[in-house]
Parts: sequence; C-alpha cells; structure tokens
Amino acid sequence: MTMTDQDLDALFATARAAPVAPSDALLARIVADADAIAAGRTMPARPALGFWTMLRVAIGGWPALGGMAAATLAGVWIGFAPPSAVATLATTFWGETTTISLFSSDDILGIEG
Amino acid sequence: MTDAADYDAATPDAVLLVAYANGDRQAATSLAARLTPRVLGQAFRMLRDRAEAEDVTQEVLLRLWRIAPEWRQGEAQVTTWLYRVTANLCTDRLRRRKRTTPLDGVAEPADSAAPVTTILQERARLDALADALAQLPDRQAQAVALRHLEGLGNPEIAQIMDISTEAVESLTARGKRALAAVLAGRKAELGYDDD
Repeated sequence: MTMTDQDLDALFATARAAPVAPSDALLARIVADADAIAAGRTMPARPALGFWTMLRVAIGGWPALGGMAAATLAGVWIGFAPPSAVATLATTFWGETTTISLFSSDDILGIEG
Repeated sequence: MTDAADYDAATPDAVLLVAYANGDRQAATSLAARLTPRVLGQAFRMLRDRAEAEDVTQEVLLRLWRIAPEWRQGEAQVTTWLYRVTANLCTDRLRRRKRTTPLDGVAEPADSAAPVTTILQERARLDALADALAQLPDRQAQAVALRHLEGLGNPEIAQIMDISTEAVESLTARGKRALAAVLAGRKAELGYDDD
C-alpha cells in the first residue's frame, strides 16, 4: 500500500488552501516587540562621567562654574592691588600694622663677635 | 519612536524596515500587518500547531526588528530572509518533536472504524503530514515545505536555502518520496482507501 503522487499533491493543495489569520493579540505582541527594540535603541547606556564633568554637574553646570571663576579672579586681583577703599577698611578693621620681633636685638650670645 | 506617514501596499518591505530602524513607528505597524500573516501561515503549515506557530512568528519578527539597523537595501529581499528564518525555526521545532514524539506514539483515532466527517479527516491528514515532515532530515523538510506548502519555485527556494536549483530539485524529490513512505503506513487510518 503506497501513497501516490496524486494523494500527496492533493494533501499539499489542502494545506495551502487552509486560511491562517493572525489574532489581534499576536499582532499587538509583535508591535510591542518592535516598540521595545526601538526604545532600547534610542536610549544608549550612559557613559561613565569624568572627574571634571562630575564636578561641573555637582556645582550646577557651566553658569555656576563661570560665576565661581569670576569670583576667584576678583579675589586674586584685590589681594594684589587692593583699591584704596578696601585698604582703608582693612586698617579700620584690623588696626595699624605692627611688626613684633621674637628675638632681642642685643647680641646676648656674642655670636657677632 | 515617532508616528509618521501611512504607507501603501506599493512601499517595499525593505523601505519600511529602514524607516522603522530610523524611528518610524508606523512603518513597524505596517510591516507587522503585512508580514505576520505570511510568516504565521508558513509556520502553521509546517507545524500544524497554532500556539507553536505563533511563538515562531513572534520570534521571527523579533529577529527582524533586531537586524533592522543593519539591513542593506538591495542585498536581499525581506521575504527571502523571512522564509529562511521561519523554515529554520520550524525545523528546529519539528526535530524536537521527532525526539519527543515518535511516529508510533502519534495519537490515532480512538475507533478507526468510526466514521469521521470530512473536516476531521482533512485535519487528521494535515496533522499526519506535519508529523511525517518531522521524520525527514531538516533540509529535505525545508525544501518540501517551501516547494509544496508555500508553492515557491525552485530558483526562489535555492535563494532561500542558499543552494543550487539542482540541489533543490534533488532535495524535494527525495523528500517527497520519504513523505510518501512515512504516510503509506497511515493510509487506511487517514481514509485514503475510501477515495
């Protein structure tokens, strides 16, 4: 007892003719997969931050860093060349500058001969 | 992802795939609607198991979404790629089925003398075809399925399987003979004596 070519061809034809429609649920899963893959693609892993980048972020970004740099420069400038108003204020606050020597001016040990 | 223009049926699959890779959500929706029935049909005809066919379909499309950014237009047809991946995944499943369910263990009608309706008989025959396909070597099963279940021509099958047309002819001829031999043992059970 054999299966004829005719039998097989009829079987193939039946298989081809059977309709197969996807369910809405399957389509929804497939589109959800596409969305998930695309979302993963648009959010690359965050690169590790360097020291200066972390500092900048911690302080509050470039504007804050710019303000700090300006204040530092102003302080250095005032230290080197204080305007008269600042010098007067310092004298008023701290008093006159006095030099105190911890050593006697006499050559008590006779070092100088 | 962004929603972009609707695509008509004339837009090539590869164009939609590239649009999807560029963040066009509508392109993915259009591709899914267009390709899912085709992949599901191929998978179901080979496996004759709806749940398994759906799993395979989802996996095939998932792989398509993943390779979308690397897709080179003009190098291969999306459908060729789909036929190949679907056939491979289905033969993987058939191989597992062959290991777990020997042909002797395939469920037979409780009472072979009982009359069966045409629909039930047709279903039994198609199930038997899938079971017989599982007994074939992978390449034979793929070639037979692409030729006789999908109705493709030998040159297209050659492209899908990456072999010569002569090799396709040889595989389909041997595969068909092997199928006939496997099914011959179930001819009476499947009602062929009544034809």
